[in-house]
Amino acid sequence: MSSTLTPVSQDPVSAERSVRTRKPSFAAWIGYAGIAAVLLLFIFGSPYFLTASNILTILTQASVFGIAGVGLAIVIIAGGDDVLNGGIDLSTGAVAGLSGTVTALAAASGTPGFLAVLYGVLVATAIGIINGISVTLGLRPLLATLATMGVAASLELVFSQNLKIAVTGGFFEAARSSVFLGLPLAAWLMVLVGAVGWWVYSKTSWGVNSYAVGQNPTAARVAGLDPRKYRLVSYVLSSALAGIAGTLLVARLSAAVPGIGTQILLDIILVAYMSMIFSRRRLVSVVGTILAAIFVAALDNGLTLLGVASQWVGAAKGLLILLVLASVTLRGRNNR
Amino acid sequence: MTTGSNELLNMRGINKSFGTVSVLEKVELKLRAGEVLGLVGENGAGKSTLIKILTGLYTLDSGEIELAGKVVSIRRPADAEALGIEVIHQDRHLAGRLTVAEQLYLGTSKSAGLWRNERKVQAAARADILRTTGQELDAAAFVDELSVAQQQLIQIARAVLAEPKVLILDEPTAPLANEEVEQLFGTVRHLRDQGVGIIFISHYLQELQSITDRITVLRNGKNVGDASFAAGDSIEDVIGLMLGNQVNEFSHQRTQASTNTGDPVLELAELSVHGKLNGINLTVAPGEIVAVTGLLGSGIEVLADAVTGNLAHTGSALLHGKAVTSAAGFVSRSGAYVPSNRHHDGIFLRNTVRENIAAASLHKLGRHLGLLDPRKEREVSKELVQRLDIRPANVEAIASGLSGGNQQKSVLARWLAKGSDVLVLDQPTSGVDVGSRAHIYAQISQLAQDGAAALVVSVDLEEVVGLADRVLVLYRGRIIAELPAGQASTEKILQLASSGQAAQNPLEEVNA
Repeated sequence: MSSTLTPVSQDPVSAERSVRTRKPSFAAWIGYAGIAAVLLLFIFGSPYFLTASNILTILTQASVFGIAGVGLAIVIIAGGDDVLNGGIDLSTGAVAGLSGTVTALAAASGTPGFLAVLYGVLVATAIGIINGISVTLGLRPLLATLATMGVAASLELVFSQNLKIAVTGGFFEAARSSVFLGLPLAAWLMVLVGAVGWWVYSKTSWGVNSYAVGQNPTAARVAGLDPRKYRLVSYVLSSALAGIAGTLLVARLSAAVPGIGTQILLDIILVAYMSMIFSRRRLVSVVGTILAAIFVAALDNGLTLLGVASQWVGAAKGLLILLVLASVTLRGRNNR
Repeated sequence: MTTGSNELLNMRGINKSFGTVSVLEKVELKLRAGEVLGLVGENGAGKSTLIKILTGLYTLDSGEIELAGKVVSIRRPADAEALGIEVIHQDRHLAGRLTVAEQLYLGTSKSAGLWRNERKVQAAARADILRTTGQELDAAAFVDELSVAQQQLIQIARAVLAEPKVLILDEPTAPLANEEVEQLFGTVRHLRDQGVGIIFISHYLQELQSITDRITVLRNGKNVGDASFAAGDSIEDVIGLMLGNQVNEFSHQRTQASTNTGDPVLELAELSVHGKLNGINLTVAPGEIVAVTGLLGSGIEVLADAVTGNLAHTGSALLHGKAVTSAAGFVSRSGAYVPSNRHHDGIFLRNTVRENIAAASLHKLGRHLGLLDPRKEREVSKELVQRLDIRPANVEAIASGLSGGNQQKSVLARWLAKGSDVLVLDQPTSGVDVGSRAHIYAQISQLAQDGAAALVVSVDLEEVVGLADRVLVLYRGRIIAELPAGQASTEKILQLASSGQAAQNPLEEVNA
């Protein structure tokens, strides 16, 4: 029978069976061009922008949402970047605020600085464990973390009685002002978190597996991986890193300011998602998050230096999110 | 069938049901080491379920699996893998943004480590793929940049690298071109000679003829016998086993549309969907029921979506002489679409039956200024619930509580309420009980007699034969035959659909 094969069996699929050439599309460059244009505007608009001390200020500012952003990036890596059903941790900002409040309260009641920080981070981690368990039980991340966000924000107000808690003492003073090899401590911490995060999520099997779990849980299960493990850990890490970021914020401001957590949430989400434009895979990445954090800090800083009223900063960031999403989306469409 | 001493796998008395629907009943499957066993059956015969049980994606209700003489328990994919059972799934489960190398070694010891050297891993992956499949693949490419056939290579290489005892290939050749099929067969024979037991599932009987030693046939979730091409059985014998003695459930006895009923209202011209459909031409006239059938993988899955504007296509689909470019455009020119995945695309599960029925005709059933008129909706719904025998006969019942058949009848009722005169029905009775089927068939026939045009896309051969005035057979993305109702039989259609040609004189029936 096979000798009488008619031309009918011509396979319609065979026309497209070569690897498509991989070149960066036009849309890919829109994002980079936007970033470059903004930076050039600042450099030429303000002589102060590119000075060493201003750059250190930018890095210090970037460290808070850079570190918390890496945590969120890890959640998105292991949960997938679908905004509605994928990995997301809305509690991250509130957890940072709660951690800061706990730390400041402990320090104010005489606990040594290092221990106070540890308490803050432990409280944060506890919330991360709740998030992780909720999500692995099948609750939607968006709603589960919205719930814990409410809890954390409320606890912060209860503990602080809605008052600013000043921290004094050598430990926080040193954390704020000590400089090592030309970089402030906060910037070093961000570099450390970025480096370790990059190593784990780009260089180890844990990282590859996390990306696989995030993109296609079924494929991961078929390959013998358990998605729940990677997701649980991602939420714990996210909260722990948010906790560290919260204590850094306290050190920088010399006080725990109630409600600050919800203010930094948008920046954290922005930098985590913006990391996509620095990624060859069009995926969220650790290093991309650090770069995005530095860029967003520079944006805040540059707009202020140019004398743009602070009311406009939110609008500028909003437009930036749209630009990033458009760039990534268009790039994705071209590649598909 | 001999039970050799080197029996590798023995599945005994396997039962599985989903809810009240029994999918497998006392199914037996035996596989020897160094044997290629074909597993065949019509769509829905239970092949995939059986394989999912063997690979740990489903758990069996009762029955026993014996591997190399020992009874084993398979509850998760990892269990199957640990036992040396590897599967190449029909749905390719791949993570799109991993590189080929990462996907190939995902979850294996080769991907473990605290410092992956990407270049080294990619070189190893390239070599492994070349060794196991004989083909070159860029290991640094992302999985979603590859063609379907190339993605298949990753899965084959991955399965072979695991050095399995049992290798299952579920419709492995559907996305492959002829020379790639030959490559795959080479790999399969090589593994067989090394003593691997291979289960090969395919609709393409010709392929099975050249690769299998033995064939196990399932029908409606039961064993109906084994066959062997080597022992002299023919493709016709296997088809006979697959179809068995058909029970005719087409009691409505439709009078065939005798006279030609005028100009076509639905016309497809060179309709193509990239990689799936290739130059489909067909017309449907008022009063006519045209069925398109084919095996899964032939492009049949996407045809209805393409026709109704739900899927991008080239070529044209004309409804009442105007091109269909969007789903909304299709519906606004009195087209009706009953999609195959009714949970996903058809029914509003949390709404009532009345709301579901009225959904497409709110304008017609409503008052001025877009206000709703529940009273009128209820009247219309009540009448349709009676006419289609939707149960429970309560128009305010929530749709999710209805059985699959009644849900499907509700979707059909939606279009009856609107008075659409061109119907596109995709697998109208998949997962629908026999009683509801008869109602759905009767309604489709009634509509056609009243002058509507119906295009039925279905893989259910009895349905196609019993319902249609003309049957078109799809094979690998093309229409290869058109059979008028009098000449269409399930045997003939299956023959055409599974081999691309009829038993004799293949071109005689093609009078398109």
